[in-house]
Amino acid sequence: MNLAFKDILHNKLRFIMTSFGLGLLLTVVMAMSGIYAGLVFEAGVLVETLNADLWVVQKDTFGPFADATKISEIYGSVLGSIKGVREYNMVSFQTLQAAIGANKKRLTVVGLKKEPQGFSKRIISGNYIKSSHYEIVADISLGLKLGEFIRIGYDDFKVVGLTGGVVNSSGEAVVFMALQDAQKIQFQKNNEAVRNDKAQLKSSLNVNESSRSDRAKLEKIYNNRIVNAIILSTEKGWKESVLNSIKRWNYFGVFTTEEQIDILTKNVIEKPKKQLGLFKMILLIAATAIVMLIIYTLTQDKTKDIATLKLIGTPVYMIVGLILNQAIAMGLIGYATAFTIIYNTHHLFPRRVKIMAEDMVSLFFIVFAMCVLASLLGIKKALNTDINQALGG
Amino acid sequence: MPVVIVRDLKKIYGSGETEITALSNAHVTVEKGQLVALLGPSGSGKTTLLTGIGLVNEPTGGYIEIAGTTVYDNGWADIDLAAFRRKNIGFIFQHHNLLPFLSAYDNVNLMLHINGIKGKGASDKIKETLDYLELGHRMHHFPYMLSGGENQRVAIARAVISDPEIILADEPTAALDTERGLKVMSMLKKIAREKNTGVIVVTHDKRMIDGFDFIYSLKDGAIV
Repeated sequence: MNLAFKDILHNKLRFIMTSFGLGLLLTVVMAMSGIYAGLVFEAGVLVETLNADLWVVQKDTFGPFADATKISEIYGSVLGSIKGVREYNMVSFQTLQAAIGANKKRLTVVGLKKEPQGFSKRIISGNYIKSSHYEIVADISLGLKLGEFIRIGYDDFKVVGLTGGVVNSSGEAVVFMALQDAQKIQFQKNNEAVRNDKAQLKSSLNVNESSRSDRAKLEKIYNNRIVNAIILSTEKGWKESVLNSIKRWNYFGVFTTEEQIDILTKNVIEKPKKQLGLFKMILLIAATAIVMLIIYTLTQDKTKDIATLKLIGTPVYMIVGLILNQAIAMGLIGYATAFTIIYNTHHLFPRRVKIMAEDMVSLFFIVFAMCVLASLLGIKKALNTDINQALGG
Repeated sequence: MPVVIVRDLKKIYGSGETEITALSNAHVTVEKGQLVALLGPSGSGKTTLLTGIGLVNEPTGGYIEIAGTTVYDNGWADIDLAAFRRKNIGFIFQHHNLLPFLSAYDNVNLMLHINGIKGKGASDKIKETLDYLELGHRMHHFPYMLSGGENQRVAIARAVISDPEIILADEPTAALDTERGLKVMSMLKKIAREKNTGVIVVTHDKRMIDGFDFIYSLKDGAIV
């Protein structure tokens, strides 16, 4: 005979409402875990989408996710010729605002020299850019449709592909386009600015306007394009060797993809992580205190019943079970409520809330331990109940 | 054959100037099948005597023997008191003390359950006992659905279901009107006779004294 179960059945509504309240509190805890997992995921998703082994960036910078880093694209072919490099790609990043429908949305434009390996698995509809100009692959979170045009800078771009969940570390959608298009947007200048720049360059380099070779040199310098990073894919087993070769040159900064993700998570989400972790801990302590108070109050309401149980010789394990099982049942119902709510609503959050199996499992055990801990006060109260309270009026 | 033997039982609370003698040199003998009353006004020591026999409160000195086992001889015997109570003593309280979240059936079943009796045998015995106490039709009702007299009869069923050697009843009719009180008393007498159980009833209710086989009258902690 499970006394706790019988008591719960007898007071169904009260018990369910109490457990539901606890469930709402646990929903916030689960949301915190999900928000953090979402931040980690979003921080790394763009780096992972580009699927490189090494990131070559401007010397003494930490790469495009931490610093303003610039590197001339002429180094692409040089780096690509290092022994052990299978492929190189050039990337530019910029965050800007574009009109999408009636709204203006912030987005990150990533310019790519070519399609990164494995990019197709990120595409949920359409295809990668086929034309060398004015096509984009956009994230579905922008709300664009295939074939739709959006204006970025001074040009209209056609959406030819849609990705699912490729965003930057701030949760803003990423748009992929040809490197030249991206560079054009990045360095777009009006005619007056172009004239001024050229005049300044001419005077500083002391160019002789009448010399054909000087004019050609000037054009070459002026048109030397820059990118934010050159990314390399290496042959199997060659990553370390290529990394060390580039480091020895002392011209560039070089990082592995893991290091780039690490920089991102440390710089971008370290504080939110601490903030969310602390908030989660406070909520769990609050939940424990609430369960403790509820169980203690329920035990206090049963003082005479417990005294009677002790008087008629009920074994201690049954009395402990009456309290402990109720606390655990409350925790389990609360957990199930929280899981159901978060599972069905996580997609409604403005930023990604990622439900991780390991987070859910660890929270399950934390809730279990929390309920056991919370029941201790009630159990102590029950075990100290004086049998004489069963006697008299 | 005596089922309860109490000799020179004493209970003193406090010490020195605050010392109060709640019970002094009490002698009680209860035979099997006998219905015995401990009668007296409030503070006379009757509940102290009952809780001593019920292994609830430790006396200060004396001797208690229940069903041939010495349970107290100037100190508790080396036995599991809760287990001994569970097996040998049935309790009936002033206010039925049924668990509010258990039906009449489950309240009675609880006693069998803690004594390790389960299954169809247990179920048949509960039904038989509740029928015996004219509660067969109310077995799935909860205490709040039953009258005071019915609840007290469920409490009697709980006390007798595991066939204890003695039943200790603490003011079982105090919360009932005369008619229901007399019915409860007649039930207790029937149980004492038919189940050959010793029944000790603490009461100060003189309306109920007619049916007892023996009455121990207490005053100021002494049997008079």
